[in-house]
Amino acid sequence: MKKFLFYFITVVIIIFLEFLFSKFSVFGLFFIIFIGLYRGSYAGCTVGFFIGIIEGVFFAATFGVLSFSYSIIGYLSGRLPKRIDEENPFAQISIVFFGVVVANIINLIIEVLFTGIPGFFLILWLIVPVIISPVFFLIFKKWWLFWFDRLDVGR
Amino acid sequence: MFNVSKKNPIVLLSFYLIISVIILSFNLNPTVKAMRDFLFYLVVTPYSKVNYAASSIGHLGANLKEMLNSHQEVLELKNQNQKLLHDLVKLKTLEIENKRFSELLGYKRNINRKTVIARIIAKPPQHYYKSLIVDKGLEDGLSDNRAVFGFYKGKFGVVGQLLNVEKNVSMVLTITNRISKVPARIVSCAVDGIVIGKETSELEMIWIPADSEIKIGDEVVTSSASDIFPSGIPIGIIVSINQTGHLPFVKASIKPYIPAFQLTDVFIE
Repeated sequence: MKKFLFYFITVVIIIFLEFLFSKFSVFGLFFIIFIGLYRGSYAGCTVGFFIGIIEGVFFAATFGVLSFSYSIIGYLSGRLPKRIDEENPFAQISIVFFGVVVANIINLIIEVLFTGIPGFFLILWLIVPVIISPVFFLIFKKWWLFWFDRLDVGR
Repeated sequence: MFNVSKKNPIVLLSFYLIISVIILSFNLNPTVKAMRDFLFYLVVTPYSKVNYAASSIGHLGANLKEMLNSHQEVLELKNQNQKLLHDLVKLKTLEIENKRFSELLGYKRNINRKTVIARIIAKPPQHYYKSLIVDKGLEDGLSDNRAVFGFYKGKFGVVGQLLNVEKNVSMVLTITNRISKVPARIVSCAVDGIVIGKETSELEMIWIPADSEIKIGDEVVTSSASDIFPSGIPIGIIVSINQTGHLPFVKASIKPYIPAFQLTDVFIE
């Protein structure tokens, strides 16, 4: 129940922040990668699916695209090899960068498949948020520890 | 299913992907679209109002600051405006003075080299139409009974003569003074007479032969009979002609060209 409340409140805050900073609506993706990395594929793809659904209502051109791509990103980040140090900021930046690129590619493919209209490959203006993603990871970690006693890597 | 998917997340992912594909296939369905729009409206409308209120409050400080800055700018502009008005008045005064000096300079080139330009330093009220005080005297080579001319609105004419010349100042007896008598000539009919002062704004010319063909508007100049004034210097124009009873002479009222009491400088020859 506590976990459910944690995820619910976090998703609400993230959606609110994405409304507030609509130009940088990547907080959701960062959180999905964070959960995937620390809590594993199961939590990653579930959080990815629900954030994708909610973001899809408000931000996506095609409803369902984001739930599809974010589920995959959450799953993939949970499937990363254990030898990757999730605490290393450079590893975090690289994972987030590839996560954003893969999410954009999946979005493009799904958009073309289901609507025939290719979307935009938006990556350049996400460079700055990607570079500062370790800060977001730190905030997410503190937020998790605010709710729970410890954060075990479940990968 | 829950337990299976927890052990094998790929099953859960497949489940989510299938749901996503189903959602995608219903994406263009009007009902789904309407629901999505409704949800969007529910969330975004209050948010936009809150955002508008927050941005308005945020702008309040900036607006206040801008108002204060504008007020400061208005005060500075008012000061600048006052200064500019002051400068403008100064410039206009200088322009008038410059014009007058240019005219005086132009005249100075055409008159006798020995002519002295003197500034009127006093116009005693009790001596109105009688005399003026100028700032030149014995030290400037002046002496009594020198002719004094003036320049007014493009006209050159007689003002009077020097009477009491002191070291640095002199008194000018104006032609409007009662004791002033200037031999004069009416140019149009070459008739001589005497111009005397009346201590008003007009002069009077007496001893004009009654049979002379004078008329209003005729110009009166100094005649060669004068020891003080050179001949042909304009005095004024006739404005009225008066009979003198049984005498064979008439009198004429003359409006002088030069209103001596409006001058600032005079020429002394």
